[in-house]
Amino acid sequence: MQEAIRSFRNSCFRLAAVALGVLWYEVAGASPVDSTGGRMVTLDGVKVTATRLDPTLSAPAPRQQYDSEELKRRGAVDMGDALNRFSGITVKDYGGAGGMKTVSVRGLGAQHTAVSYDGMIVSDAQTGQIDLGRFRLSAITELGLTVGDDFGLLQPARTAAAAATVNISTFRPFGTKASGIPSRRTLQLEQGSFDRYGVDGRIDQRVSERFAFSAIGSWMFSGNDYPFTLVNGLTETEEKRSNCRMTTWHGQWNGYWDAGRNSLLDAKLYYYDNNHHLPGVVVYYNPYSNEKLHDRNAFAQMRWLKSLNSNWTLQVMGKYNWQESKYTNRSDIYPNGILLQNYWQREAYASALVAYEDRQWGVSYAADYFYDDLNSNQKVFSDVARHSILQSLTANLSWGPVRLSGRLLGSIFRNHVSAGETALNAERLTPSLGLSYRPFKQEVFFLRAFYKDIFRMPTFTENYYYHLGNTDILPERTHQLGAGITFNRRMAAWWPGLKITVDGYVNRIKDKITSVPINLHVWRTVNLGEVHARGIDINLESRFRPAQKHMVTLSGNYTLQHVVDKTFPGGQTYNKQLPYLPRYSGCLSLAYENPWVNFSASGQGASSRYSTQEHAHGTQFKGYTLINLSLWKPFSLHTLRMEARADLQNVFDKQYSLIAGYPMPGRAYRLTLSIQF
Amino acid sequence: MKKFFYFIPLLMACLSTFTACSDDDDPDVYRKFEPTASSGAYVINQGNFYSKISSSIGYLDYGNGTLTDSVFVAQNGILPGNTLQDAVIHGDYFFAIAYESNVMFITDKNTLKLQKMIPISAPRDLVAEDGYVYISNYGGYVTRFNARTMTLLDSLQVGPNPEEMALANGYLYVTISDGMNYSNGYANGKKVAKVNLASWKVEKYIDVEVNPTLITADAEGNVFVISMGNYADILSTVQKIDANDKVTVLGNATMMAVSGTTLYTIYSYTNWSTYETVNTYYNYNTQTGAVVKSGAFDIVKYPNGISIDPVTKHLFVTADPAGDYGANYKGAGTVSELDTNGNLLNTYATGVHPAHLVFNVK
Repeated sequence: MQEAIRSFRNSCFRLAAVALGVLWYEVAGASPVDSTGGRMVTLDGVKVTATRLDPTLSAPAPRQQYDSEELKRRGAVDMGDALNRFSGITVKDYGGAGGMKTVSVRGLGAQHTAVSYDGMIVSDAQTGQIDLGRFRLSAITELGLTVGDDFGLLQPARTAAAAATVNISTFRPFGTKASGIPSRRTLQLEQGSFDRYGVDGRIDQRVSERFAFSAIGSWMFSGNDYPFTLVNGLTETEEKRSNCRMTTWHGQWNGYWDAGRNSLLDAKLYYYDNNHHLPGVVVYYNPYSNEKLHDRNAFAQMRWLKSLNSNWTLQVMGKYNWQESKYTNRSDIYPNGILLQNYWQREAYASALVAYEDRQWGVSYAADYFYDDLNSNQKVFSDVARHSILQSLTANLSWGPVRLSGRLLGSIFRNHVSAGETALNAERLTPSLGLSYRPFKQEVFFLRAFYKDIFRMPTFTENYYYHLGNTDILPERTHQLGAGITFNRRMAAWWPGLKITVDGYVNRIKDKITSVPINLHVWRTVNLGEVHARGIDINLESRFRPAQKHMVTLSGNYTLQHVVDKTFPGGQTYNKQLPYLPRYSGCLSLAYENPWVNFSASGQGASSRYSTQEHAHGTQFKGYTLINLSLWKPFSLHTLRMEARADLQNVFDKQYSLIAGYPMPGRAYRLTLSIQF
Repeated sequence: MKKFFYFIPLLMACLSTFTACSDDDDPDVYRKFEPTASSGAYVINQGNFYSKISSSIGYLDYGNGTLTDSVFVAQNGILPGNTLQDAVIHGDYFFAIAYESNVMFITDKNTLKLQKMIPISAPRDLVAEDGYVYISNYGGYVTRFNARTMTLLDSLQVGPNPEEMALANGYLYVTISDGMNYSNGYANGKKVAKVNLASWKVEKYIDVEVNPTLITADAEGNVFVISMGNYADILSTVQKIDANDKVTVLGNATMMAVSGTTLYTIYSYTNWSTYETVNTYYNYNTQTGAVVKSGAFDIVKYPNGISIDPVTKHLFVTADPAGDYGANYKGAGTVSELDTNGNLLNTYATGVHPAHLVFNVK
């Protein structure tokens, strides 16, 4: 009987959907179980309240986005895992909870990947790369990757100034009114292998119709002393990582204020503290390490958005960032028995934007200014600073099934030093263009293409570090050309979603910033080298609903990348794949959600890689495949909504490394309990 | 705490003096001798720590003229650690030290069969004489090891970041580089510690140019030191310390070896703007310090060290291969065999970053 009712309802549903034409997909997509479909844009004045198309499908450049539920389905339990669920990405991971994790996208190198945290760029002018391992997956509500440019009109110039951007969201998107914030409290406890303990707390509170806030706190301790197999010549020994325990916590407060007259304000305070020991590279016969690193970061940011009328929008943002990195290594080889390397960075950032949006077209102009400075206790590293002024002009035009987007970014950089030579200043004008075409009105099927020309400035280390630094280097340039198709369809009542994206690309890196030896002890940074990359990224997501309250999700991502050095024709590194980039990598997961216990199995793997550009003998890593299993069960206890989860990672205890000399953990479990009230 | 730590080996040293005679079957093997035959040489390949290429030991067999790489791992099944610094043959044993691995390997000198692994802190260099192996510890010490009893003896504080050592005139000459204090211009790294072997005390410090790293001595007790300078405006120089501890600068050099009355040096200079490396050799008379012969050294582009067979007097220049830009410190290195006139006799392929040869002599 129930089956009959369901079937009847479904057919009515489909009928209505066909009648609504384009909207039918979105309605299906907006069902409670499917959270990656339609997105509500509820900002008055800027846009009418409407369900619009999944932006990851209609965008001219590849965009991938998963919310926390989807990441659970794909068996991701930490940041490294989660990032592996994106195609086009290569994660460099030094292993364990404390190991640094950076990502390179489409062969472009980690320093070309920007990280945006709740809409604003997280920067590190010293090294140019962000350790994504510092962000706790449990605090993240949505994780995304934008390759190239997403041509958003409300995007500050700086957000468009990287070749790829990892987007981390910890709360609802900007523009949400205070009244849209639900009041709830969440507490999450976790325990895992290698002495891992974590607590996350979160309060979302609507104070009034006009004001809401959320407070997030997380704490974790991890021993990280996981076992690994060391291959020593013809012998294998069982070893353990040592000196790797960490204690980290972060606190965050977000305020949302509906100031009236179509203006919204949000503000954030953030503090992060990570006190960890570093196990260092694996050394034969000597497991001892005495390195410690204490990182602290605090920032405050604020955004103000005002709709002047149904067409004009104004946005102003500001941020102040402070970060400290204290490295110590006690050993009698150092003067006074200790090596202390302390670095402090500060950044002030301001952005203003004005956008005009009509039904068919929109333009925006953004101007960003930021000032970074760095000082340290190192005598050989002077106090350095950089002013950056970025301006962007963005236009979007919809013309029937065609959407054209373009952005022109103008960048000006001015360097300052307290002593010694100043690094070269730079000015650049860089364009990006995007096109998406929907040939069939009834189908969610898009053809897309984009081009982006962008560069990265040398980092302070590359410019100024003792001996290594070179003040005469130029920015490293990248050119990206990509094209692909996106497809989403409701195939049948029992097969409510099949989503596929396939993208190919050709990238170039010019004036690559690299270091060359003066002698074994002294290296110097130069612009040398050219890299050609081409590859294919595939994403698949297929949902099956064999019965009511039963959902099977098959999802996967696949990366094929051919990223080779093109510096010296006939040279030793010529045409060789760049270090650490596998030719093939991917992830496949199968989740079964049901009224009893939800289940997910996932596998991820990568082909062999080299740790050296020369592909030197003995520096090849074997490919690997890992299997992860998860069980989770939402349930209620009185008024409490709870979820218990158990994960078993690397079920077959596969020994592998992503960085030479830094083994990854083998089999590990994780137990998580979350309570919402 | 540190004092106590060094007291234990001292105690063991005292005990070992009583047991030394009974343990030692053939005391003569440690006596100084004039070698008359050499059958081959071990090649110490340092590998590349940062690229995770482990060190290896090769063997150059004079008999068949071939260099076989990785003989240590073939014999023992395990690798000779991270960054082998140097090795020495003393008595019937081959001693080798690995810096990051904090270990000294003791093997049979002919088969390399591992006998013992001695934990030792940050070993940088080793020399041997009269049944004692002396090891410099980068933490600021030199440590004695009794080869007869196979026991680690006491350590003597000498100064920050000692590098190579040389034995001459009943003294141990230790270069004090203060290499980890480069940001203060190697403030305490401008001297050579002269350790009296009988009293086991630093008798004096001899002032030399900044950052002394390499040191060797001839049969007459002249000591030669290369100070690496600061890798910037202060260039590397070779200096002579005579029997009266008088120091004279001979010229620029980045590597050296002594044989008879000739000090062979090579000066390798890389221009920081053009990145071009130019190598020049200078042969000095050890007694007068005068240049006997010099010229462009173009047998290899990136020489790393010179070793001389005490019997054949042939020079062996170890080198890194050329990369696309500068040296390639990750590729297979070479050993070039030269006669005393500098004529190339042979070139052998070896492991990554070959540093020294240790000659198997009788």
